[in-house]
Amino acid sequence: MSSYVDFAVLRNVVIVALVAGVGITAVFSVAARALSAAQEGTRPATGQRVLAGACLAVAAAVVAVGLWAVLAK
Amino acid sequence: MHDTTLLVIVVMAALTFDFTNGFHDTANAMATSIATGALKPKAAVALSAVLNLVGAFLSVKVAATIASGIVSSSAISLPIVFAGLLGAIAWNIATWSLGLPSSSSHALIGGVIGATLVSAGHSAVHGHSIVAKVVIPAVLSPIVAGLVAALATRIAYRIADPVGVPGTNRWFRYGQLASAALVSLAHGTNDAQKTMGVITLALIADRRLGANADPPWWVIIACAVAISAGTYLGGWRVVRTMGHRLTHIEPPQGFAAQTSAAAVLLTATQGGLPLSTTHITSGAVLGSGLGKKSAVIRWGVARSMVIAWVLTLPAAGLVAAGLGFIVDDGGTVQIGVVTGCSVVALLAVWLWSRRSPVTAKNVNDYVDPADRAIDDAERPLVEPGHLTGPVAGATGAST
Repeated sequence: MSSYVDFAVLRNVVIVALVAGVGITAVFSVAARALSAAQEGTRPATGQRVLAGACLAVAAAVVAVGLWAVLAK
Repeated sequence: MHDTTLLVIVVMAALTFDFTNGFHDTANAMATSIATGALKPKAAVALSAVLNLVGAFLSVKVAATIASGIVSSSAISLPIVFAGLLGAIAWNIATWSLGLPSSSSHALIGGVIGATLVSAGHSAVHGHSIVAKVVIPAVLSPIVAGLVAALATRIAYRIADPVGVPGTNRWFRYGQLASAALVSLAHGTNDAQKTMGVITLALIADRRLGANADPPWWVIIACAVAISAGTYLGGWRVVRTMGHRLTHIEPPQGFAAQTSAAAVLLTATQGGLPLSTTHITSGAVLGSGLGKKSAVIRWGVARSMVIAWVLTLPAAGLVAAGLGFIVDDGGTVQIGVVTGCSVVALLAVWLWSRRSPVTAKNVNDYVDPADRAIDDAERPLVEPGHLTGPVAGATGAST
């Protein structure tokens, strides 16, 4: 079986995909919740906006690093 | 047949395949965004087309790898490439007409294998590579993508709680623009290169390029435009299957599915694992259904999809083998007849599909037959004020 599958690569794919896929979704969910928590028609509080901005920045940074890693190869 | 004429026919066939690849795989990136209303259908395919075009120019690293290791390079000739392409196009069109997502790359590989088997025998086909590069990744990729998407969906609902916190769906729809764009870009980077690889292979086989040459600029531009045009046409039947028939998709599920698919796709590309975009995105959509409590998965549709995946390699190979048997010696009459019959067959399938057209306007107008049956059962048999009783009831049900 190991001659057919490179288990080391497969393990890396699973781990990185889990961290990136689940991680980005999780931080984006935090941002979505923070931005939606305010009453309808009012702006979110400053703290919520800062939290959302930080989460979105982390997600964008992970995507940028991922794209760079693929294209640089 | 004169070499130049045959080469032109092969290039045209390759670009046709690239075009079918584009519209067949529109659903990979955009089905969930269209289904959740994050993007209007025409806007979604326009965005995907542009990003596929951009993606096609980003890299040509995998262009020469499409058939490497699968068949002996010495066995490749223009008639084999031609027959392989027609087998792949036939499978793409057949699965599109049935609304089934299936891998264009596997269809192409199956076609090349089938044509090579007929032309050069089984010794020219590398069985170990087929298992390692095609079969095992085909099994593993949807499972991995599904697991990641299921977990991501579960966490998204746990954190964002769209029921308890109104308005989160709106943000997930915005997020879907980015995640869909990422999948489109990855698709353009991967799939356009496969056709570039086939045309380059044909040019090498015809001794117009040296071995290990990169694709010429005109090949890169032509392939980028063909896949982009196909994507813009929109394979609405497959979009409907991925966006509605497999499971009902909500914005957090759509975002989780696309993000997971992009993560698996890009990670696998970086790790050198050749994976099918279709298998990954389909697995992710299924996983997003599994990750949401009380979501309904239509396993009958999933089963049909898996059957199509299993059949892709042998079916495309069988068609290509039959055609390869006819065109193997490169005779003008044979290639002309095969080309003409293929065009007629494509037109026939397209005309047949027009009997129940799925377009940008009606792609979201899907009601599951089971839901319709429930609606019918719950609907009063007769309107108030009308006759009651078995006979009147029967009349009411039929109107």
